[in-house]
Amino acid sequence: MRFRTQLTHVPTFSKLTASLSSLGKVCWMRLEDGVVRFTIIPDQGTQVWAQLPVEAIFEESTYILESNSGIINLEVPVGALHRALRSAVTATTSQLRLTKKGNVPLLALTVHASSWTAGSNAIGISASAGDPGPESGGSGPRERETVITQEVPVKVLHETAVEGLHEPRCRDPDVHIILPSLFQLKSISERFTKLAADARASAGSSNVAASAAASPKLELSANMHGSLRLGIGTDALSISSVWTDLVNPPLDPGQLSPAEIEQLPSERMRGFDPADEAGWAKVRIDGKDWGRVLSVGRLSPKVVACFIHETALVLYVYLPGSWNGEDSCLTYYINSYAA
Amino acid sequence: MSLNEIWEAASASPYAPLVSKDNQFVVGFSLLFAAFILTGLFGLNRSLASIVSFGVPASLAFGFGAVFMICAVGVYPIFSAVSSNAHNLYTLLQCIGFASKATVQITPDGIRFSAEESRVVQGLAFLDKALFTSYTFNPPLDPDHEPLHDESAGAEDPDATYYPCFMVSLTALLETLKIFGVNDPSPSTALAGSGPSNRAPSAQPSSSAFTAPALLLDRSCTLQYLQDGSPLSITLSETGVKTTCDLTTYEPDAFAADADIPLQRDAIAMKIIMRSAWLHNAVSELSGTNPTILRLSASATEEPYFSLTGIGGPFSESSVEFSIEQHHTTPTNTTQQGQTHHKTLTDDGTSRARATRSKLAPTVTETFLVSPPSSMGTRLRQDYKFALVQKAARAMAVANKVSIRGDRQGVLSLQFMVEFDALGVVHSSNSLNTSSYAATGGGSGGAGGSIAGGGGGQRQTGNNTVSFVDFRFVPLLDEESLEVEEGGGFE
Repeated sequence: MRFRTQLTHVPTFSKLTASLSSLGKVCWMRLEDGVVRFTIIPDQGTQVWAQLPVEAIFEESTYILESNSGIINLEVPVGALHRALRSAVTATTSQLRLTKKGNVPLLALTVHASSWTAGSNAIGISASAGDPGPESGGSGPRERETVITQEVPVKVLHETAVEGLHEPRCRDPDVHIILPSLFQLKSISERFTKLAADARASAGSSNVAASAAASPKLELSANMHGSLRLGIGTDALSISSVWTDLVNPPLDPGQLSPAEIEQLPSERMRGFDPADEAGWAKVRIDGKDWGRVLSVGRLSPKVVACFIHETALVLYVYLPGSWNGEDSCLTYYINSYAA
Repeated sequence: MSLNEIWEAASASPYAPLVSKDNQFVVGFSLLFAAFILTGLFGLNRSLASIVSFGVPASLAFGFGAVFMICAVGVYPIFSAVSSNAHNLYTLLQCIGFASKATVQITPDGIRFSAEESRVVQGLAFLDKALFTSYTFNPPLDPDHEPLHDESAGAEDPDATYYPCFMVSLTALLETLKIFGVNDPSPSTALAGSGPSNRAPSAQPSSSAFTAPALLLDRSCTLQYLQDGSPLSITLSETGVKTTCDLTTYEPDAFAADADIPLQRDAIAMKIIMRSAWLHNAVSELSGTNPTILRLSASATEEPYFSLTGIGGPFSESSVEFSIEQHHTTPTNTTQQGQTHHKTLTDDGTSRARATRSKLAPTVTETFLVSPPSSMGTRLRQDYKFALVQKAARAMAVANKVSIRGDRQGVLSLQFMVEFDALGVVHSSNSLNTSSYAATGGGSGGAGGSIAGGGGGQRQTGNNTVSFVDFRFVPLLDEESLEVEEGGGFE
């Protein structure tokens, strides 16, 4: 079993692991020929199924993958991987490979970084004592190469351990819409969550335990006429923000026949008048969890939200530059809470 | 001109519509009925003569009747106001943001927000209608009184509350206003990030290329109160996003109507007007020793003329003295009561004191009037709870000037003047920038008189809009303060 590759888009990889690590501690990383999959299935909250083409984060020519089945399944502590990648962001080259230390399998990240010494710095000279002839030009700033190897302990999962895992299946969405800027959405969502939490805290200290357990639930709804509504209600106030003129992306006519498209619930929802409340698909989601999901905004992606009325919200997050390619997509499954 | 004066002046010419609101339905209905009859008569005999005698009157009656009916039956919002700059409203309201709920009263001249705690401290912010681009207020029909009678009653007694009065959650209101401009680059997000309590006074946003009015286009903030008991709704629109917040309105406390802490205007023992930054500096300087009591001491004849002393903290006491003779402030930290010479606490303290002194402008106060009651001798001394006075710190930080007044009973009133320029940027005096002081100096000389006038008023100086925030504090009783003082002395 061998896996070795050079990293190419380290900032992307780093941001990806950062947003994944906010949702769960361990990540199932599935390395396949041409495709890398990241999956997070927490006990509670949002599931992420990400699929990236190898070239999105790895250098394809150096990507070596050998195993009996052609697939390697790893259980990676995604937070540790993210911390390791942070040092690789400024690196000239960095390499990721699967090794073993004793009985513990490791993902070893080797980072070659070069930096300029500050000049006639005694520490700089002593640190690079191994270089040939450091004394010759001791006064000026010199380039210095640093090699850092970070080891992230992982678990190798057998094929039988993961074969029971599959993406959640849900019915066709009622409404699909492209979300506005995630930064804006996130800041407004966080403010709403805070408002509701404040209102609850001031409502009385008798049910502190109950309120601590359940964070406020945001109501997110959208219709097929380009409107998205985010709202929350408490005793003291009810507040909602409405975005208009968003895009409801058309479905690919290549995959579905017009007759099939006619049958979809989203077409039925499109038939409603924009002012009609029946045309809105609504989900109730956990405010804090939603904030963590929206942290994927740092990848500046395009996000299509699929609303399944009172059931679930599915986010398809397309990384920039891969809008047309189906292969680079993060899928978030968020369950709707009952009212 | 103070609010009271405007109020009284307006009472001389109350607006009375030709047909009063009560009679609009009757008039409208009879006109419509007449139109119906006339149309019927015209239908029986269609001739040129009947056009003149029946047709034309029928059309006229129908037209006017319909308008009156719409007026009579239609629901107007009691109150609706639009502002293009919610940041001004936020700046004023956050001054009184120490309480979680605020009492709101809508008047024809503006909205009055008051917050109070334990009935010993009260903050009052008045959003004048000049802060809004449009301001519509239709006083609701009071079931108990005739509206006209009410208006005259209101003019005679400004405290009569026939204007709608309710309570809303102030924290929620402030959070909502902060959503406005949430997409703005650093200034406002930094503002929102640093909590209101720990906000440094120097962190005030200043005018820059990115706060230009061009960026504030396409934005509006609408406040609306539809009818008695309906929520106060705030609508913030920016390009693409529209946020609506309905704040539940609560019945005001039974005594909220006369909840104002009484300041005896005819028995003022002290009146000091100065730049708010100095008071803010003094109070933040004193807060370093974490005192429990703030002693305010003023004398017209002997040194120190005006001093603030923090008593009862873990570090004994410290005081800030403002000297008017040398025309600059000398904030000095004295370590022990009774010591004749001033001793500075630490090296750090010294350098800070010097730095402050060199920065402060030469005049301490614009007005300094002290006439202590005879029982106190020549020196006016009054104790207040330090934590309560500190609640006004945000107002001190934002305001330009402050008028400190105390009456014979010891009630302390701090009236802050907050100045916005044409762009709606706060003219914070806390930069202590002498050039900016000179620039605003002309307008503010006159504003001092307005402060002295009392009451929450508002006026324009050149392009600048001036608003007032009022604070009132109930003094500590003497016995109480003596006890604490002795306890502190023995520790």
